[in-house]
Amino acid sequence: MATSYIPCLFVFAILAIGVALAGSCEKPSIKSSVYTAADAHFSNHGIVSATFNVQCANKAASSSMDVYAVFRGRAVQAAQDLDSSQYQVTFSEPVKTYLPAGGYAIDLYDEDGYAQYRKAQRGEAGKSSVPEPMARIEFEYPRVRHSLWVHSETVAVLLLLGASFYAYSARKSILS
Amino acid sequence: MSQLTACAFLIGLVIFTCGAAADSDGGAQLIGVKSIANNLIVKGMDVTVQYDIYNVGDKAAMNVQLEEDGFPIDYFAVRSGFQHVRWTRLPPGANVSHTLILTPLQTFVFNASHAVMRYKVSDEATGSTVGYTTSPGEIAVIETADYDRQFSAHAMDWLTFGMMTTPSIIIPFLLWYASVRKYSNLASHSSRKNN
Repeated sequence: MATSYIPCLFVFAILAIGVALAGSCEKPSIKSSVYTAADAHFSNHGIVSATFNVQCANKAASSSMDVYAVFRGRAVQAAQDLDSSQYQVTFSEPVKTYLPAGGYAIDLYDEDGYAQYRKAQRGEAGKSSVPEPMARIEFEYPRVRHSLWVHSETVAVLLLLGASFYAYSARKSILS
Repeated sequence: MSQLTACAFLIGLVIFTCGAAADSDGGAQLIGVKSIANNLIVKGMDVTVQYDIYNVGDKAAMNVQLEEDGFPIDYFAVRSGFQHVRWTRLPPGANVSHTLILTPLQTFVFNASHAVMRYKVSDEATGSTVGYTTSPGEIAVIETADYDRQFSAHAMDWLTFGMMTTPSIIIPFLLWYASVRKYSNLASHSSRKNN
């Protein structure tokens, strides 16, 4: 009777190993595009929105995996598009207190990597260093644009007043 | 006395059962806020639609889906982002953000309505719960020319104006300046002669 369970256990073990392997992405390759918005006059939020797709060597992991993004210490789960299986992650802050211009990077983790990242953040024993991300998206954030401090009409009026004052002074000196 | 004891036991049992039932009714509850991040909405310039979803329940929301079908393709082109997205899990007390970048193709007044959220209130739930985000309401898309008239620097306009008016100002000025130099030189020359 006991021997009849052995094939079932063997099949179950194989399935369990398969499920575990499908959860982690082997040799990931990322194609990404990043949209940034940094116009304080036009918008009230600075936006960093990255869309990307993940290709894994083990194809089963590509379509079913959860991806987590970490940007400047903030971790979120990436949203997955229902139509195309691409991912999107968004970070936004009020534009006046947002990022200085320069190069930035978004770190991507799969489920296992994110679990290790969280353990490192909590400072658990033996997990003091942040794990290497599965992939990294690098982008340039532009300088925040503000509305004009002085309008061109004001400059034109000031120039006109200056020219008028010069002409009046010259006329006065001639008449005197 | 035995009847009193029995009544107290029954009342206690009822209270315990009701409390247990209340605990088992807890689940995820999502609140969605849909907003337009722009101060101005101009034809041909990007509009940022931001969605913030908060889980105010006491369990993780599972298989959270956000569906946005309120921007027809005749009026808006998608510049970046996706309109149907999914998160596997949203823990209690957590929130996620999502953005959709659109470009208005026409000048009109548009009524931005709500987006739809579907999620399971717990891991054990069998059916999905449907919720709705807030609605930004009416948004007016203005013409590009109106935006430029009001907010652009008009530097080229002023430069053109300056070039057109310069001849009528510079030519008399040069004539006057040449005359002043000539007669001031003559005056200083004659005063030196007299001395």
